[in-house]
Amino acid sequence: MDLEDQGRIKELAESYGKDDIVVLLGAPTTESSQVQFETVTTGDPSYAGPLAGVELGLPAYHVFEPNVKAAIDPDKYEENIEILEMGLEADAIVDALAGMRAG
Amino acid sequence: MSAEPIILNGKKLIILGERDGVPAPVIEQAIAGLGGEVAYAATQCFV
Amino acid sequence: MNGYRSTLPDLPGRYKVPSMPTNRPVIRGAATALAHTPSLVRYGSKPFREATAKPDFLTNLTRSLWSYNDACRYLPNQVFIGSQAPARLWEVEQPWFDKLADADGGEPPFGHILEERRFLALLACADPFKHVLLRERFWEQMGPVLEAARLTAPLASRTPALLTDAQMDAELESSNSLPLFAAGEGAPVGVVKTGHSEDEALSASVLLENLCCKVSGALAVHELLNHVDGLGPSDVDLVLSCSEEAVGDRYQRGGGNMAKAIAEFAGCDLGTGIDIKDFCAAPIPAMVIGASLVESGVFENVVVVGGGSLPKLGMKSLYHLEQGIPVLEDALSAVAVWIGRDDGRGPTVNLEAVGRHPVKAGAALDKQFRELVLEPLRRLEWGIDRLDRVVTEVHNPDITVSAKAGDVAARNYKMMAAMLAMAKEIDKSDIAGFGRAKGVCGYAPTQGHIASGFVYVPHALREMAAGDIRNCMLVARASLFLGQMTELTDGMSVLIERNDAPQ
Repeated sequence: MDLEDQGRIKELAESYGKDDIVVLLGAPTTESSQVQFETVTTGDPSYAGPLAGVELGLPAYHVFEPNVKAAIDPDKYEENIEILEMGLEADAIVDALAGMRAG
Repeated sequence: MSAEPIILNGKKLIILGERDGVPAPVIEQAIAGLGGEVAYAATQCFV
Repeated sequence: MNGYRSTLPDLPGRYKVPSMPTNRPVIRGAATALAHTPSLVRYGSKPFREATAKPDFLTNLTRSLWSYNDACRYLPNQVFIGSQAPARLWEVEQPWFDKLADADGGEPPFGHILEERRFLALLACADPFKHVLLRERFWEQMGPVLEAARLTAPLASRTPALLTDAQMDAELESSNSLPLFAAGEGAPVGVVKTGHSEDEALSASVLLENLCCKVSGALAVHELLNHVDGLGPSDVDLVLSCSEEAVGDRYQRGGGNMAKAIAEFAGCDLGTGIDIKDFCAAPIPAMVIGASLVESGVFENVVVVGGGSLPKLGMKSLYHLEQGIPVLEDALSAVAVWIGRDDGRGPTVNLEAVGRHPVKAGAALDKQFRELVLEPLRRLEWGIDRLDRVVTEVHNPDITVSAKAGDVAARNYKMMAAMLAMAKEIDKSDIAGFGRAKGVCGYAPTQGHIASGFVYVPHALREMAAGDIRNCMLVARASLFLGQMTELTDGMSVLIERNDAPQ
């Protein structure tokens, strides 16, 4: 993940605390979704940025995940996200993140 | 069985979008009205 | 699912078909140039930052760079210069970096792969302000080599500034200078000095970046001149640069004019030049503007040129090093396209079908493709069957897949197909096969403006001449949000058609 983003996320996590934050991801591939998820939960897997070795444990979801979808107005989901979901490897992303949460 | 919706109301939101996935402004549009406050939003471009 | 929803008005008829005068613009030729510059990878944006932070980075980088011979045997490079057809990319299983093979002998159809030392020597020839200084012994070797080749001789007429070994040692001690290395040479072969001690826009690294663009752009223009009939340097009226680099000074950082610098260096002495900027999408607006200027009669021969982008070298090198694969972003790539009046042969640039991306369309990829692909087709009242080829962002997947960014071209085609399926232009069962049916496998270096449909123009010309395709839509996208002035993206598309296509 971009080092600038990591720095900002670290600052926000420190000022608000993990219980008040939700991270929403829009990455297009399974691998990039996994890297982002990992970075904001267990730390930067590339060990290059401010979140290297920092376990923020933030709740993070990809917007394709069912519980995010369930929260969004169906019309808005259809208008903004549905075709993107259809054109990307959405199922694989959802499965990969579920797998990471399960450890 | 439908999934339990996540609660965004009262939360600070960090939105990490991507040019070829779902860009941050698109996520913001989709979740508008759910009560979360966008604390940080960025869109990445990997090429 | 209910059809496709949009906040914009319905597609057909949103834009009127413009009424046009009669100087039909055609593409009269196109060429490419690739400069294999492994020793410049260290000055790419990512490697430079990395080397500053981690001293051992450069050792690892240097070990993972290819020789010139390897670069010439790499399939995507062979497709770039036209020695292989793009269809070959479907036939050879990815990755390609471990399957190096000689292409057929003979002259490459679109342009050459230039060896690094020649390119470095040309950097000095292209520098009127003598900020690039070459070691005397290096120029003694390279001057005659440049003079002897048809491609480089016209660019090497000016003797560069030279330094003795002792002078070079003294110059290299300045912390504001960048040494120029070359594979196989022990000591630096040259040095780039800062252009102004109080102007960041003229630092040695910015000057080097801009000179790399100028030289590679001029090489592409010369490849073009050498490959076409009827266009000498003095016939070029206007050069439009769609390069990514921004020339300027501290009072106008991006305000300069790369196009005119390229025109001068390439010997287009009666031409002028203007830069067209739009991040990676710039080539398509440049082609549209160039074709419009030909159509209107304002200019007769316009050359659209995109020079290579030094900052993008080694952009994904960290991933490549981590996986123990070669650092594949090691070459500066350039393309030149000649748009002129109808010669009865060249493919026409159809200005009735320019796809654009309105502000309100939003940033999402499906919305972009709806505006850039579907809207122009609907405007022409074409079904998708009538479109033979659509080309967008053909980034080399060897580079991006290993960097966890996926196959950009394949992803684009899938998204385009999903959008077309929702719009009932294709069947849902055709989504997976759409890329192979209408598209191209990625092969271009990750210099976005080149990888946009622009790089494909010479192949499109060849395929149309061979009767393989009737038309080709080039689609470019730009991540405007990177400049942090807007969250928007941009894009533009243009349709080129065989000269004998029904009007």
